[in-house]
Amino acid sequence: MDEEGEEELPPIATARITYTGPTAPHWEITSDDGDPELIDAFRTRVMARLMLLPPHDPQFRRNRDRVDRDGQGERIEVVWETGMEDHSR
Amino acid sequence: MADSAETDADDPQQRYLNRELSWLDFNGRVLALADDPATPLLERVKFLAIFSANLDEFFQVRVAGLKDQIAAGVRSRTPDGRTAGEQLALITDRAAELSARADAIFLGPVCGQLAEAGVRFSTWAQLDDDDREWLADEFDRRIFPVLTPLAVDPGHPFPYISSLSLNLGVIVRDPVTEERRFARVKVPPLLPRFVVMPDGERFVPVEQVIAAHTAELFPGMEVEDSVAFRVTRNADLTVEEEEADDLLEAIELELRRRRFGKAVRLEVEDDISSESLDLIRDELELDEADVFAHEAPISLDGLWSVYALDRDDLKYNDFQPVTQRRLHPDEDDAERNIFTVVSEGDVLVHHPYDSFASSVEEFIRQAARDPHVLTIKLTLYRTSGDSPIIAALINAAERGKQVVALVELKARFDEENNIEWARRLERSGVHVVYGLVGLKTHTKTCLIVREEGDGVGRYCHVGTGNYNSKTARLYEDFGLLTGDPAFGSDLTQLFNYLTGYARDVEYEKLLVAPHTLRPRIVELIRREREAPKGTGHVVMKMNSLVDADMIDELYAASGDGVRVDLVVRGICCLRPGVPGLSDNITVRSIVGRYLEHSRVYRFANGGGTAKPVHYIGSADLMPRNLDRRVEAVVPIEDPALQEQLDQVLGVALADDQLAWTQRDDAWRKVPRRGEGDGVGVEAHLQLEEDARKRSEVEMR
Repeated sequence: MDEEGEEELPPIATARITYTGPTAPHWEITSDDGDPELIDAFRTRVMARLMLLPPHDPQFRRNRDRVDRDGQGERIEVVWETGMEDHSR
Repeated sequence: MADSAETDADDPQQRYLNRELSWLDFNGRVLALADDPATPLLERVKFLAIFSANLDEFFQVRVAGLKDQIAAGVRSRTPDGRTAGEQLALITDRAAELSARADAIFLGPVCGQLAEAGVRFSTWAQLDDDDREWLADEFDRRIFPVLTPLAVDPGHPFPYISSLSLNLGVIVRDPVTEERRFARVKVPPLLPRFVVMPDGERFVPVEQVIAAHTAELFPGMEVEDSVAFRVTRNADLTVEEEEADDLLEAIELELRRRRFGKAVRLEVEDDISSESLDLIRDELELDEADVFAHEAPISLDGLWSVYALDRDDLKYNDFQPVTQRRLHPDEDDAERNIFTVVSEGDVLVHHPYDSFASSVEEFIRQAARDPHVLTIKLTLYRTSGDSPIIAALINAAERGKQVVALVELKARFDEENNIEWARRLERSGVHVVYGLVGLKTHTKTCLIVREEGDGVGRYCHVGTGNYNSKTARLYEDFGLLTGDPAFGSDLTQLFNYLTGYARDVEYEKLLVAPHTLRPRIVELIRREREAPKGTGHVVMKMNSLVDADMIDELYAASGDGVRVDLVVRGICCLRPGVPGLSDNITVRSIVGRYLEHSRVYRFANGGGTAKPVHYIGSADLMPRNLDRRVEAVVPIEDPALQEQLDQVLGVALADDQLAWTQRDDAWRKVPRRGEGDGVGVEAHLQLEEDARKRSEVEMR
């Protein structure tokens, strides 16, 4: 598949990543649409990147970008709800 | 602080931090609790006492060890590239700074606020005539009879001053001959450090009461000067083997014997006359740098008696440890069979939040009474005096069970305790084994073998803390109760190794130092470096991180983009956040009402991509734990228990009330979260709350 074609494909699922507060695991990944198996596999990978990583951690920005890229690759629209104003993007 | 931009990763001084200075930093964090207005007032008093006792031990062991090295002409350098002499100079300055700070905290905010709360420290000068009259009577009745003035002159050599004892140095003049003499009066340890006035709320330092009555000790003489002083000596060999083994490797045993008990520190009141100071210092063969002059009363660890005041309003709220739901008694109040519970699934207990009595002690107590139990084996290291565990072992032996207790007689400062319990155990029929020659047994493990059906079941406890009922109320520790046959088999092997002549022992799941622990931890760190970018993650919680090879492994992991989050209560020789060396490493330390003592190791991809592995156990990452002790570290495999561990680690990493963060060589208090940054987290309160919830809901 060429890159141009990849960008035009619509998302096949949505994942909502919500910051749950300062104590671990910090994040909840939910979805209202899309293949549950696809979402489950995506959730596992996202948690691997975000486990014990609150949004004020300097590493968070890098890992959030990685999660976004994972989502694009999987055709999953990623919605972030960090509960704080985002100055970093 | 090193200039980060120019860090030379190959320069040992820029690659590692000095362990002695790092320990002093830790004690500085303890002192900060005494200075923190958010700490309840009597707890501040307690932290001053703890700080003072910590420093005493540091001088007895670490400073003494460095002085030994200098005396022996040892020229080796520490991993951070310093000689013993260089370290000693740095330590002395830092310790003096901290001591002065402690005095200022005591005399300033602590005494001031205690006075407001009705608790006063009075000097002799501040007392009125009625008070002095009462104290004079108290002196005559209780103090005078136990004092022994010892003169120093050609016929009376300078007396031996015992370590950490409080003394008065007195200069007296004979009015007939005009001769001046020096005398020493020891304040017996049986006397309280502070005399409590009849109102129960005013304290007078005992040395001031004695000083006001020295004329009674030297009748017919004129007292010209009297001053309090205290000597710290090199502690005995058993202490050194525990804490200072790394300092003593190069020193011949004979040399160590010869300088046994040498003075290493002299503490004096800051208004001591130069005459008295010179005399005492010369007799003790100490340098000026070894003298610490105090503005506050010498030896603040005497403040424990003040902490003992019945003033709950000035202390932390008393938390009652809870019992996890699975260990609760049945609805009809019948006791829950702990072996049935554990055979249904592992139990992870987190002390002091989860009750030690209703989990670990209950485990051993039920084993002692259970007619199906054949054998109980456990390691005893620093157990408490009136230990219910000792009672249970004796009970089990008397019922004819095979009971083996591995007693570590070299547990620092606890030798007498251990010997006493060992004898009691032996008399009741327990097989007492005294560990391995040359390897201190530091594991916290218990194995119970039980007759079940047509075979035997094996039940294990592996913990991060000692089998000590008292410290289990104050120390934060984990313990795993499991009926997993693999652990049972591993512990059987471990005990055979400890009590018999087993060599080349292989373990299925347990990591055991000095054999498999170091290589496995290294392997797990390296595995994270191979994980998909952004997922490599190591979290470690421990008391001390000293081992240079382990630090190098963590640096290499950081260089490959692995996140490394370290929660280190005490010594940390790693420099976090140094560009090009440790960009991805964070280090924090939690210091508060409970003493963080658990060792937890988490590797995000240890079981394969995104499959974390968790370990808990007795070992810190220090050379002595990894190479010179028997340590056991156990994997936590149940996903629910892994989640429980993750929550605890998450709380430690989220704390913004007790936590300190280290960047390069500097520790700073973690800023408390402001508005809009989310709610603050106080680890110990949060974990109390989590434990309460855990006691109310089924964990699986």
